[in-house]
Amino acid sequence: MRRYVLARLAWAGPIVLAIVIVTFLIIHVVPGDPIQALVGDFPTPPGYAEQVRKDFGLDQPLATQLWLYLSNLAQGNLGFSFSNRQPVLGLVLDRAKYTLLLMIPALTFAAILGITMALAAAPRAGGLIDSGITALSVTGFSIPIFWLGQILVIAFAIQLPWLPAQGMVSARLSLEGWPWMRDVLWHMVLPVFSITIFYVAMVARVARASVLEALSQDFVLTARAKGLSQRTVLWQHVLPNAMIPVVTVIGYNFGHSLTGAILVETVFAWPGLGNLFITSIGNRDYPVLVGIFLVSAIAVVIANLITDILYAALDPRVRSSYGKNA
Amino acid sequence: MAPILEFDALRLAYRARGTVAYAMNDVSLVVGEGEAVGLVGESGSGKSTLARATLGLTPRRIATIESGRILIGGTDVTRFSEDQWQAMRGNPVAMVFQDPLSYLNPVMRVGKQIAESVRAHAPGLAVATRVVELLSLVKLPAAAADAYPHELSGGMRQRALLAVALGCEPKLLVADEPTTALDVTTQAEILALIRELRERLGMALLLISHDLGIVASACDRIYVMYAGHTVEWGATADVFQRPAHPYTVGLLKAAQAARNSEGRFATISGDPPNLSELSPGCPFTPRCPQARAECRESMPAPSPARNAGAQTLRCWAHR
Repeated sequence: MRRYVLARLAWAGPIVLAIVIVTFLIIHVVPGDPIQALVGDFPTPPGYAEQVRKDFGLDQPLATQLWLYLSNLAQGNLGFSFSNRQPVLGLVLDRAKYTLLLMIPALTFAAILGITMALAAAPRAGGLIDSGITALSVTGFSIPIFWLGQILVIAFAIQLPWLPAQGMVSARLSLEGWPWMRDVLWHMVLPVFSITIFYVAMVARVARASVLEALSQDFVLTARAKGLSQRTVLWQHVLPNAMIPVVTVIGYNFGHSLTGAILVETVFAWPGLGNLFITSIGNRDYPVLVGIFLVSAIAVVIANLITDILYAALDPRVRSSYGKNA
Repeated sequence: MAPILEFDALRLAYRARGTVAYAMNDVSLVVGEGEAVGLVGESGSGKSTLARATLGLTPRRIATIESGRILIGGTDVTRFSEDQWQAMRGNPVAMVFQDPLSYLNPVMRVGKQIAESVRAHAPGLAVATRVVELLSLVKLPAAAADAYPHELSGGMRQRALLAVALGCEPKLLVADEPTTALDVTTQAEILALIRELRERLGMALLLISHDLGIVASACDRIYVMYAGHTVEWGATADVFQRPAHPYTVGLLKAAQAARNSEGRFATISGDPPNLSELSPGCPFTPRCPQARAECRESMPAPSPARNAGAQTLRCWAHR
């Protein structure tokens, strides 16, 4: 098992490097000029734009720029944001933190709710509860997340002024400690809810299918033949066997979660990575864009690795296939 | 004393999407306390449905008992609810299944699967001690408790499945093709083990198999099943040495690999009937060398065999 993890980690290096190179090239191929975006439409003294271009090294050939970027990267330097005027690494990690603040609770709720719904629905497949839950999950999956966000804002921030409509903190208050945390939690409610709805639908669909599949397995008959209650059969025998596909879906989405909340972050003006991504595209802020790709690529690789380790934890047959001493 | 298990003219139908299959059409069968009874029949004769029906494990959504009764220890369980059945499962009736790999939970240690039986049926006992006891009863090392099913051999898995059933302390063990998935040597070992356990623990056995040799070696009495009907039953020696029903005669000939005058293997000509149609007559009529007019009209009541052993059968040729 340990050897397997190490092998996977060794692979992660080249994969991430390839992603960085490809995104670096793609971004530079796309039309648009960062200096133009930075300087704006104001008249500037002659030579100013060229000076800025030179300062950021953008007058160099693309290959040289890539080489410079990679050699900086090797030293842990992700470059300097043109428009934010600060180092990319700190900026990206800072914003990633806020995205995770939305995604971790949302995915956790989605996992718990989705699995519970599946366990309620699957044993009486085709019944009333099952049809209801299936309908709900199709609806949740089909509603555009930005539309849902806006409806929620209209309902719970404007019509009923219960919750804040935007941002992460109340701009007019300068809070610290507990009151600050309460304020942030308050702001989290609507965006977390929007994301949760989407993922609940996805988890419930996959979990329902895999619970149904597990229910039809022969060992369920053995468990029932022992005289175990429906509940025990469901929780002790069906659920552990049904978890593997569910873990895949959750793990996969966790990997993509850093950039997965772009729409929600835009609707709720949440200062996360998705928001930074959108503004950086507008500003042609190349180092930030590549930095975001780099960080989310690493996140995907790590999440997939954790998913694989979870497989092994859930399924002893997977453990055996990795080899006992590996 | 009431027999431990009794099927009385049971008819069970599977219905799904407008189609019907009468898996059991007219099944009568009795297993006394401590008795070893065999049930033989070809694939699709309703053997496995019968096995599941002894534990109320036929799928409720599609299976309905249309007539007849099932009694366990004298209690009529025919119309039992799922909750009532739960109290009957494991004790007094436990079951072992055909393919020990798929019938054991792949992600749960064997010891825990056995412990579940113990906890459900003998809550007073020290569970861990009892699990080790059960493992040694089925001749598995104590270390097998920590293994997952895929780490055991086929024979060991079937022993583990037996331990799961025995953990329930059943009065009747229903074994549905317990050796079919195993190689011949392992088959013999498992059969010897079942016989030994039955004698030691004094439990009754209902052994279901398509393999006549296995049933002959392990059972006092046997039932022969054809197309959802029990057609002949009696002491194993009577039925096997002097078979009376034309189906049993054909089955035994085929099993002995007897050759006919042209040097070909003896077979029963024709195909088993379509289970979706209910005909009033004997289902074997189309394939029967001794068929006569009344065979198409009705199924005769059980009667003793003529010119054969002391068995009972349902056949117009023996009226």
